Amino acid sequence: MIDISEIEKLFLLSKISIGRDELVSYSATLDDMLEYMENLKRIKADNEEMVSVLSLNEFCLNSRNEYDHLGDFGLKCSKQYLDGFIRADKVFDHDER
Amino acid sequence: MKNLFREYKEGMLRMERELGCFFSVDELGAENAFYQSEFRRCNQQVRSSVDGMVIALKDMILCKGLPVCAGSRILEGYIAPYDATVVSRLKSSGAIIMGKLNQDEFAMGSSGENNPYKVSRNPWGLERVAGGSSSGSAAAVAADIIKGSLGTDTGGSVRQPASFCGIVGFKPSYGRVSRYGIISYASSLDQIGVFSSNVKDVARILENIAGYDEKDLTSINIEVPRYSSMLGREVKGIKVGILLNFLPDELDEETKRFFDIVVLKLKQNHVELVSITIPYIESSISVYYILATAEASSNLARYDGLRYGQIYKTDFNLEQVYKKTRSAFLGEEVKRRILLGNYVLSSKHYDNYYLKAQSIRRKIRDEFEKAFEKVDVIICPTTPTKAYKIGDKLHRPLEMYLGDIFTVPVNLIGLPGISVPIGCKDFPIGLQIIGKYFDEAMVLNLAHWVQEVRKE
Repeated sequence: MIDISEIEKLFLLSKISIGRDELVSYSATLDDMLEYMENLKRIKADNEEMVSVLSLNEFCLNSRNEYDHLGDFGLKCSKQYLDGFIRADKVFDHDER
Repeated sequence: MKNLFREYKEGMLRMERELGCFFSVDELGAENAFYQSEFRRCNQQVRSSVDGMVIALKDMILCKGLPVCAGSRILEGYIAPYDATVVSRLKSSGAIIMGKLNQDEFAMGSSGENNPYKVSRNPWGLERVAGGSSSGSAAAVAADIIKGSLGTDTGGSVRQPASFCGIVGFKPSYGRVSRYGIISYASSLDQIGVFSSNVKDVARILENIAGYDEKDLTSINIEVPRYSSMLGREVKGIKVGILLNFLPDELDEETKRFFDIVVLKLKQNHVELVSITIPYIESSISVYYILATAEASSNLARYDGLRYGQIYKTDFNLEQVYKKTRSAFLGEEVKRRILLGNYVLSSKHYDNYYLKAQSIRRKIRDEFEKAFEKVDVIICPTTPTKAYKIGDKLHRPLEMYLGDIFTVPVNLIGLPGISVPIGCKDFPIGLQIIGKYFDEAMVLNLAHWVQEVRKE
């Protein structure tokens, strides 16, 4: 069961405020969703293939490796983004801010 | 000629009052484009296979000078400062862009109900959902208000509403169509999709919008075939895969029946049917909702009230501006997905969820590649059920997510997939055809064949 205080923290990180009742409701839904996603944890990494992730370089034939700041509406990216489909800076120090 | 467009517009607006497909209609722009197209036609200067075709755009797609809000109050009042690449290409091809179409907020939804403004209704039954998130795009084509439309497909948001509304909805391979000028939901999954009532028109629209774009890092630099001239080829001898472990118990009886009819027709036409299994495919929904929400939490961080759209005016500090704006103007489903995305990216849970999901995504991709060594395409139903009543699943998000079970794997790996109507008892049912990377021609050809055979 996910802690209400953890949900509160996540909303703070997302720069969103909600009331106590809403927190409880989101917590319940998130519990359901996380319980459903538990099936992934049961898939064991018993060989090297399971450890490696699908990178954008493999996904797209044209991917470039160098830093490329596009500056338009939805496509700002960095090398880490190309490798992990997500901004790595957000991942690693996300909840230490 | 003057009256023709005006009569069309009056009829369109009359139907629009019942269906709620459009966010905004560009009456003046469309009328000008119509006259210019007619002039070209009279002077035998037709520009392309879509010159004069009336098309509209999901409100995730920027069209210069028109409002764009992605179905969200946080972007209310924002006017697009430039055209998306697909829009520039459609305009150069002579298509008539009628306006912007209704959708779920930030493309997050499978019914069209996650929207603070209105719910688009299914023309087959106004009490039913049109599907989502490209609800307006599907409903408008199904009601014959427009000839074609563009949507975006991140987890099935083109194919599922196409199935619910009894029309054709096609998601090309990831990278086939430029995403420049498309509001991002999940950047590794988003792709522009095409709707029309028939496969030929889908092919025509696709061949005019597809192709490399230097402004989209992820678009692929390979030739765009003339898809519309590649339809009608023989299907005898192609190998069609049927996923054995992919027909859940919740599958509608009628969906199963119509699917079996298609399988029989394929056999009668000497198509080789091959049973295949993809062991990790059952994890697709979990993988999708981890990765899509993670990417969405990052992509939607930019909506802070300062750069574009609405701002919650307050005398407090900057932090308060961010919080009050996002709290007031983002919807419940969007907040839910941002929350889940941040959860799976947090350092405590990153390994168990995000990293695990990425590695399983790779496994699913590898297994599809192995399957495609034996077959040319894979078929399955597009959705486990037909269109349901408005309000039925609105407060049961997990149940709504499970409805994406057939469509989501296609986005995870970036394959082309189409939904083509195969039958209707009360409400339409769609067949999904999945192809190999950049083999849109094969998918379109088989879909065209299925449509022709069903007419018989």
